[in-house]
Amino acid sequence: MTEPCYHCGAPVPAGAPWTITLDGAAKPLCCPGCEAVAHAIVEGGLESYYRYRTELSPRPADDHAKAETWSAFDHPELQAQFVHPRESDVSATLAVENITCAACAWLIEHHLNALEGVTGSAVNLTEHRLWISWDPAILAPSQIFAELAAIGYEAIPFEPDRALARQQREARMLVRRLIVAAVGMMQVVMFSIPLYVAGPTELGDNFFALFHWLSLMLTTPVVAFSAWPFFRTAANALAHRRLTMEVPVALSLGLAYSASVYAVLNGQGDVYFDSIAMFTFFLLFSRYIEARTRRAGGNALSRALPAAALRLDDDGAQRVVPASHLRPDARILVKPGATVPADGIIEQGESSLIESMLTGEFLPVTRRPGGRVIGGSQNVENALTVRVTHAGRESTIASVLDLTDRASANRPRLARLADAMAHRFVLRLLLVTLCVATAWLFIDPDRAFWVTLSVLVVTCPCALALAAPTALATGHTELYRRGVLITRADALEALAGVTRVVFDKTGTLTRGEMHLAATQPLGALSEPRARQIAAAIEAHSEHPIASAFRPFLEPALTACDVVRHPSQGLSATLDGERWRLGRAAFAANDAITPPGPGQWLLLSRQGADGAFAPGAWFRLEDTLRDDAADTVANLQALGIDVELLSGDERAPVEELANTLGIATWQARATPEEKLARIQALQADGERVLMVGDGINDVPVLAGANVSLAMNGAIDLAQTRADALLLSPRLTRIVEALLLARATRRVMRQNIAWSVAYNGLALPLAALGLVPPWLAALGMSLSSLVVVGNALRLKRGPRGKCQHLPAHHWEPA
Amino acid sequence: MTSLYLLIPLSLLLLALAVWAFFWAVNNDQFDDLDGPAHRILFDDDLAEPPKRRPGKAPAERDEPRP
Repeated sequence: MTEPCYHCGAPVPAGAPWTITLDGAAKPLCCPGCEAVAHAIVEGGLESYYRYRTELSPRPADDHAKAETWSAFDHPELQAQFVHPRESDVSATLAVENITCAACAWLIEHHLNALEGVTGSAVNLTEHRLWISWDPAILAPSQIFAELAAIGYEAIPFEPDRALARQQREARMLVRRLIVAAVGMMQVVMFSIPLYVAGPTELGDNFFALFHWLSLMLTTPVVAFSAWPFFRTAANALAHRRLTMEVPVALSLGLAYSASVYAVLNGQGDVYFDSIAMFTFFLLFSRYIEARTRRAGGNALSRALPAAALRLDDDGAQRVVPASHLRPDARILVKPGATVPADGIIEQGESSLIESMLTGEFLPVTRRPGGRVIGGSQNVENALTVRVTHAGRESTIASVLDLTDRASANRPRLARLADAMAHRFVLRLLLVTLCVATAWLFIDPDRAFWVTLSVLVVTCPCALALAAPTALATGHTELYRRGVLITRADALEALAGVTRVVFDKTGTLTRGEMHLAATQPLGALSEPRARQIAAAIEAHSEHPIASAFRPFLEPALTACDVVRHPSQGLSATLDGERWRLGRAAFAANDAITPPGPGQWLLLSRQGADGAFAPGAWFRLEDTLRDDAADTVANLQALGIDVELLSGDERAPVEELANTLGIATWQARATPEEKLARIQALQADGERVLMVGDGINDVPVLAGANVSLAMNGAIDLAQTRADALLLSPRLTRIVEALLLARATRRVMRQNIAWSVAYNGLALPLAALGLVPPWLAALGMSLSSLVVVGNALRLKRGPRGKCQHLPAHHWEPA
Repeated sequence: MTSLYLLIPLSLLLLALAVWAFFWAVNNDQFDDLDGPAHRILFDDDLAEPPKRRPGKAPAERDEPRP
């Protein structure tokens, strides 16, 4: 194997002319796309990017069709949607794809800042967004999109939807509340220390009163502003005749505050301002940590549908309009290479469409007039005239995304359990507190109030309430960081208990990228020559099959007059001869049969009589994923059984199973058989993780204890799966299982700890051994222990970024 | 002890200043991306020469009016 592409890491075709010179050494590149990007980076003086990066760059997309979409962004109506005028320039926020590590942010900012007319740019690495401002007199938006594409990043205008905007507002409000509580707490404790430290006579009455009044002044905003959500939620819960964890919190805060205010006004009695401030701060702090672990960006709809559409108006004119302005019954033109902006029915034209957005299937499907097209799918070959049926929010893809949202809004079983538990727990707690209060009224009425307060504060079930959610939230975030997105709330828990992993298809262990497995020349054509001719013809195609021939591309050999025959093949002229490449019936106009099992393409040449004579057979095969063997071995090392259930033919499945060391496998399995097999396994007490591409096996996925769908495309079936593997690396499955187990362990520790803490603290407080400030501290510490324990999950088994020695270079 | 009469108002003033500064930071997106800056500081060490300002390349056939 030759050296991989320096830019994207893909294999480099033999004799490829594309290189980039760095430090005087030429590095090989795999395609013109990578070459263009690498040169743009180096010519911009930004070659340090290659030194900084910790992840390989993605392979740049072919963007000849994109330039047209960009120019649509210059349209004033469309610009009005995402470009915001400022004093002397304009600004916009863009969602950028392909950001893999921090070096990307560096590269983007430096590349754009070097552009004339750009006044500022900032990349948000957490949410993959770019904020940019520029002078509209010098630059047009389309130029910015073109510049980003030049260094390999695809961008679209970012428009936050209402839910996202609200989420951000709430997050900011929480930070503000936390800050007020923190600052207030520090100062109140400062004023309280003299009261604790000084003897009864050391502090003058004046100072005594002063410190009390100061504490009151500082605690009031903490209670009124920072602790406000607790009061609101508690009132809400009580109105619905439910008891939540906020009820005792609000009760103790309210009681302590009113008693302290009363004491200050009367000049006698105890004050609890320090306890109040500390209690509020620590509660908010735990919430803040929890909220941060849960936050994730989302801009999925605008990513799925293009921003602009080409509308055919009744007067015959073509107008670029924002896709969101499309209405049912509008007629639109979808050019080849463009993304369909709305659901509709084809009026004119025939073409192949890639619907991977919805189905995950990367092979195009042919659609003819009268056929339905789905917004978000990509038009491959010919221009289509489409009558819109559903646009924007009503489109299929939008409803799919709604599904995803709903899934993530569901609370996991454990959290629901904790809620129900909290209700009963709080009820008993309040009863116990009442008993303690009554008892102390008889024992010592002077101490009754603060003992009651202590009991209320120290037993606050915050730790219990936080125990499961913090662990789950951290687990989810950490999984997401590794490219595993959990879509069903219970999935993480189910993952932890998995005893058997079933790969649902051969396709899950392979890359879904075709490669050439065999060439069989017929007649005079030599093997390499046949491959070169096929490569030259396929160079004009964007069909996934074309990638199989890319390594054999001979730069000197070019095909012309290439005609695409949807679902059939290609025909082209090469060196004055007419060739066809595709299905046997198409290529040879003849009922010729392939020489063996598998997927075969036939190359044929037109003879003098006009008939096409077969020239060579090509067998195409899927490429095994690099880490498939490691993944299977690691799973087995964890004591998890691995099984392959495939609908494919026996021979390839057996070969695959043998290569990977999978002992249990089944070929030609129908979905019913797969489901039966899973149910049989479950009857034996096994808990099954189903790994599939999740397209046509929805019942099978649903039948498994937990299901994982491969690959990043957003599609309907993936929303049925419990988890999505966004990363192209299979070993993430192993990491996900390990992390799920760690999460479950932490969750159990947390629950055990908080139950033990409450069991110990309650009797001590009821006996009057715990003053309120200590109670607040104890309660807070118990919550922090829980949160801290959950945060341990962040330090996973492996580091965040792995350096890539093979692609790493040091400056001379 | 009389110094307290000066120090206490001073500390309250500082407090107000701190709250104001934090609120300003929140309002100016400083708390939105807490991951990026941690990495970014590692990068900007020494570019051989600062990249030159260059004009943007127009994408092909751009005929839409500018704002």
